[in-house]
Amino acid sequence: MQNGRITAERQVWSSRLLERLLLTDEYLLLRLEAPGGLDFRPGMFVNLQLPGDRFSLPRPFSVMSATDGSLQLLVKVVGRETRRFRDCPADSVFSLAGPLGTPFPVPAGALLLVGGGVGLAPLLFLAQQYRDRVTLLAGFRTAAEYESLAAVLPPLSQALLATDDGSAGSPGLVTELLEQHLAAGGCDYAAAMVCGPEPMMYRVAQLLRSLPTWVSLENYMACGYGVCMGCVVAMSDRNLSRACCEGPVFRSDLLQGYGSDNG
Amino acid sequence: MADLSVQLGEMSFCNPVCLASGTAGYGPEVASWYDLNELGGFFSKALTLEPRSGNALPRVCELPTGMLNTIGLANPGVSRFISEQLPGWEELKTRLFVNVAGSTADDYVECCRRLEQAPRLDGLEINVSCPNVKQGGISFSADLGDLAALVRRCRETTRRLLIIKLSPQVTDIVSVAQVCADEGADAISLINTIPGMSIDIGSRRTRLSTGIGGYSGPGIKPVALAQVYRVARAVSLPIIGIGGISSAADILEFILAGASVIQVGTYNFVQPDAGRKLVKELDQLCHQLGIEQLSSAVGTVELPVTTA
Repeated sequence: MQNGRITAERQVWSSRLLERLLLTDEYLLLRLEAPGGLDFRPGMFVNLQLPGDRFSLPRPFSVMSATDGSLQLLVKVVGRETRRFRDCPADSVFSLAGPLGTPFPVPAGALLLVGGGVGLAPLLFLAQQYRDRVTLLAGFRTAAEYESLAAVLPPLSQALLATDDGSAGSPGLVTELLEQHLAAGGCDYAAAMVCGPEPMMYRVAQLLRSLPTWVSLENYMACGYGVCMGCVVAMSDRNLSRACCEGPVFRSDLLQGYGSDNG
Repeated sequence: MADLSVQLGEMSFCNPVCLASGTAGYGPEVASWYDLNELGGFFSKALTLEPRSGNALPRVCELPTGMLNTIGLANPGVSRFISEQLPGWEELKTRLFVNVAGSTADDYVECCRRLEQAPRLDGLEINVSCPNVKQGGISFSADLGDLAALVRRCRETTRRLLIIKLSPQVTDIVSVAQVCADEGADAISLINTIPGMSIDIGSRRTRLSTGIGGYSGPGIKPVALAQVYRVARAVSLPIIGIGGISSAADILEFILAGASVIQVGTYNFVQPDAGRKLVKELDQLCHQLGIEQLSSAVGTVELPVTTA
């Protein structure tokens, strides 16, 4: 993107729904048509819309995988628009725009991925691309939730699991699992990538203070490409950054409240 | 191909589709989707003399008929714009405008003065209508004496096209527009956002950090059309129509009501390629309706034939 000149790095396109899996009452997996030639990378997102007769802003979703002519998105049903995505006819045509946002930087060496719920989407994309050198710590509410998502997890040399109710894997939060993992000496990592609820990401960043850690934010946004200024996030140097452009992936110590400014 | 070219006073536009201030940044973001030269014109996000970080979050909220925002004129300040963004405008052929905001008349005038050195700029749009900052210039829309003095001083400062962007929140839009005409403005932009509010009944909290924000989108189109229509009948200044435009039919409504040029605002958030898409659709619509020359349709609306 260079001053006024056009580049073909992004597109808006009409996209047929290729496949829709209802993983749980809450989680959907959508596979949607995508044009070739777009460079989707882990951490980037797309704006998804289902045209209708009412005004609606597009909804941002992290790309979970991008393969020959299609994209996979993990959707958590939370409101009116996501219910429409769940309930629309199988031959619906969506409007998609992307790729948006700045991806995870991927340094050499072992990568620690920590995520929960719908926040697993960008981490699964990373895991798919770097499966030989990632360790995934994933949190779920129940064994049933884990099992429904297990179908879409790539085979990994190491994935550790925690459930809130203790019905599978380690009982408790994924942050507690991380503490155990660190205490057991599993910490020879080059970097960590985190996505999930804000308190979880904050706690993980605190636990991993000595490790370069990137978190993917989920700010409410209107446009998704840097013009509305609705999704700004405060940085530790007091400047504001746009979650949709400079983010959604940020190095945790550069965010206000995460880094050294927080004592 | 219909002839979509239009005139705003003496200035010609290759088509009437411009992007509205505050919905298209300073250019590069939109240029990542399509060539800005496909547009009739481009209006920058508002610039103030000093940088502003804007209001607290939440700043935006969706409604069934549009959205609310309380961005609060977040911008890098006019000097940084001139050094960092303006050079990128030099090779563009589309009409380019800077939107200027401020809290005092001196601020506006100083902004206009600094922009006067810009090598590639077609005009200034003076924003006397931002509802989201305490001193966002909206008071200039309420006091005709203050407005007259402001427009006069801006006119003395710039030789470029001078456009005044008005608030719809006034008792009599015609008299406000007439003051702009009397003091030497070249055109007026109608309308800016309308003050609005949304409440989350569960938490009993407003959905915007400032409580009230600016309402935009399809819901404000009838209000905007009425203002354009009234001013077009009474004041001899060309009008830029703005308010909820999201189709070629919407554009044609504004043209018929009396706008010479239009701006697409909130729709840029819905469709990043909104401007390009609307230019194409407008050409098709004119073809369908047998409109060979769009400019001939400006202000040609009539009341229905009454039967009683």
